[in-house]
Amino acid sequence: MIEYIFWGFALRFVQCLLEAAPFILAGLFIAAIFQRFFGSAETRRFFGEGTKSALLRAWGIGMLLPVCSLGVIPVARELKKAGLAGGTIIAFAMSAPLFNPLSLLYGLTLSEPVTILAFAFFSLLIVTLVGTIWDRLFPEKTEVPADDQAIPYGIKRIVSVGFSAAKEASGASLIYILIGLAGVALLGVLLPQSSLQRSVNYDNPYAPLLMTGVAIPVYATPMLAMSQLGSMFQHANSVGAAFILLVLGAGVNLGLVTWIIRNYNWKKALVWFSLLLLIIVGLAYGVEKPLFPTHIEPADHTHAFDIYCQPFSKGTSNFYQTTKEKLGHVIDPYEIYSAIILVSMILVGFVLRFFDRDSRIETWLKKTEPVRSSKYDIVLPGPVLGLLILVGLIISSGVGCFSFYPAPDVVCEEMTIAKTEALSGALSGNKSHSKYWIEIYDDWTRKLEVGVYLRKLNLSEYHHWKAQLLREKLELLEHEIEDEEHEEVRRLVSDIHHTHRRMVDAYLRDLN
Amino acid sequence: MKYHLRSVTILYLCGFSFFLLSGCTETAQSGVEDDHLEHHIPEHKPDSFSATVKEVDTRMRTLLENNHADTYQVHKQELTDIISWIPEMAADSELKHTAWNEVKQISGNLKNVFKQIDFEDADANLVNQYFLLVDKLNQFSARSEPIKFSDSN
Repeated sequence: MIEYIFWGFALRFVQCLLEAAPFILAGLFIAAIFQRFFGSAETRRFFGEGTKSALLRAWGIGMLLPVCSLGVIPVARELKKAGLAGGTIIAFAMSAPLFNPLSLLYGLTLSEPVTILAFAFFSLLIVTLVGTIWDRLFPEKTEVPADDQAIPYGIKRIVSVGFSAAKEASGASLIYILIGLAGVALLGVLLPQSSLQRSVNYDNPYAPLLMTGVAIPVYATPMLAMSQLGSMFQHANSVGAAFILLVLGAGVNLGLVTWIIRNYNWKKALVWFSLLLLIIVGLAYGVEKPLFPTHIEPADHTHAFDIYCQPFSKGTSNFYQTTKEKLGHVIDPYEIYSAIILVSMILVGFVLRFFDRDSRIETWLKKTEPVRSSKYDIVLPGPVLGLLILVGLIISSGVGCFSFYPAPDVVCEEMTIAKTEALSGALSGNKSHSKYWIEIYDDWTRKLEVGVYLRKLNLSEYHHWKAQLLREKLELLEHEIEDEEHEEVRRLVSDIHHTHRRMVDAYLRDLN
Repeated sequence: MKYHLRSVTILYLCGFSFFLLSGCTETAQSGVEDDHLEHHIPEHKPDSFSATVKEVDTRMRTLLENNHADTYQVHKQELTDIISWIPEMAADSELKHTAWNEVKQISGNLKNVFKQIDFEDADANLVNQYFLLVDKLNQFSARSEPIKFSDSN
């Protein structure tokens, strides 16, 4: 029993840490850019502090920056230091983790793209409403802090970004991030394996409420939340529950909640939380019927939340080996590299804190160097450069979409490998092998659709159907493998083979 | 502060357990089976595009002949479902993009005509239109089937 608890906790903790690492890194550097390039006054101006557009700007900036609900913590802390109003910070902190260009595009492969656009609009509604009410209830006298951390131009400013990010990585943000990770890991220990499979069925009136309870400690990256929405729509589960999963699962975690409580006291945090839940649950029940995918036959379950439950089944003996295998299946190389950089930054941060207690480095960084001006050496203001870096970050995440969602011929090639592995695993009765490859196969069908959409700015219903049908059959195959229905598995394998051929033919002939 | 933290944590966990219990109770559909996860495929869903076209034809004839039968409403609903599945079944066939677009348009027209038919007093003109559209769909049936190679070749 102790082994299940220990390894269950450890697996979920490490898995989420690795998945979050790229976003936490992005958050640390974004916070450092606000601190060193913008400075407090310009950050406030950038967010339209004190103007009516502040909440809308916070939502817009949040939607574009590539951070998750853990990565947003250092940014939120920096915005607080810059003297932004609580409503604006919370609007930013809640909207930033919901979407990024990659996940938004992935969302277009869901049953109805309009659903994702509606969800994005509702998230704006939520942050605007909660932010407005918060600012009305708790008006703050916001002033520019006397100690502006912006650094004058030069190489020192670039060094200062790394310095700030490393210090923040080893500071209070680390504690909040660890709390957030512990929350989702604890959930993996408390919830029995597969216990949430039938809890969010479309006919369960309590589904949105249950999701509210589960989604608060849940940590999901924008992409994970989007793929879970995909799974929920594929199974025609409760739309309200899906909406709550996106807003609370991707937008909030225990670390962020703790940060809000610590910075705005219990009363304010309680008001914020009550308001948030009231609006989210109200909206969730409101969208339940209008956005329900009517053309899909509802399934009596979902697999979207299996990853939040106990990861080990009864009878597991070699926990270390199983943990290694499970991590190997879900972690991408770029996540491992990001985690290595993150851990290195944390260590550097601790070293800096230990050896530079008198803030000598900070004093040196702030010391103005003599300006050597020449005809072609134009000095650009820090905020302009900071803005350019942020725009560059957004553009590079846009460009990244093209490599993440390749052209149809590349996808089809990759998909053939996944198909061979998945179907041969199914025929030989190798459950774990086929399940692993079915997920990859399924994922490629979505990438195929998004890849076409990105390049042609359009995807016909015919092509959407081709990919959708393949996904539906893969889902059926997964169940038949699980139930060891060998005859049905053979029939489905043959059927999938034909569906795959027709889909590849349609995409390569019409769209390549 | 510590006292507050404890109370709120306990309250949260209690609420969470309640939601979990209420959510995990059996629902109308999920109560039927315990461990076997199901994807419900309606019994009246045809296997292929050509089977769908056949069903659209024969079921309509049956409905017109037995419009006072007890099962009339059930059969009418089933035919409505089958008509709405036409684009899906066509996509799951050998039909190419242009042919699929045509099928989609015909199925849309068929849906509209079917909606207008009052089975108590069926308008012959509408019924004719319905079967004309079914004939048009039928022209795609052969093309929708996979090419079969004979052993002699």
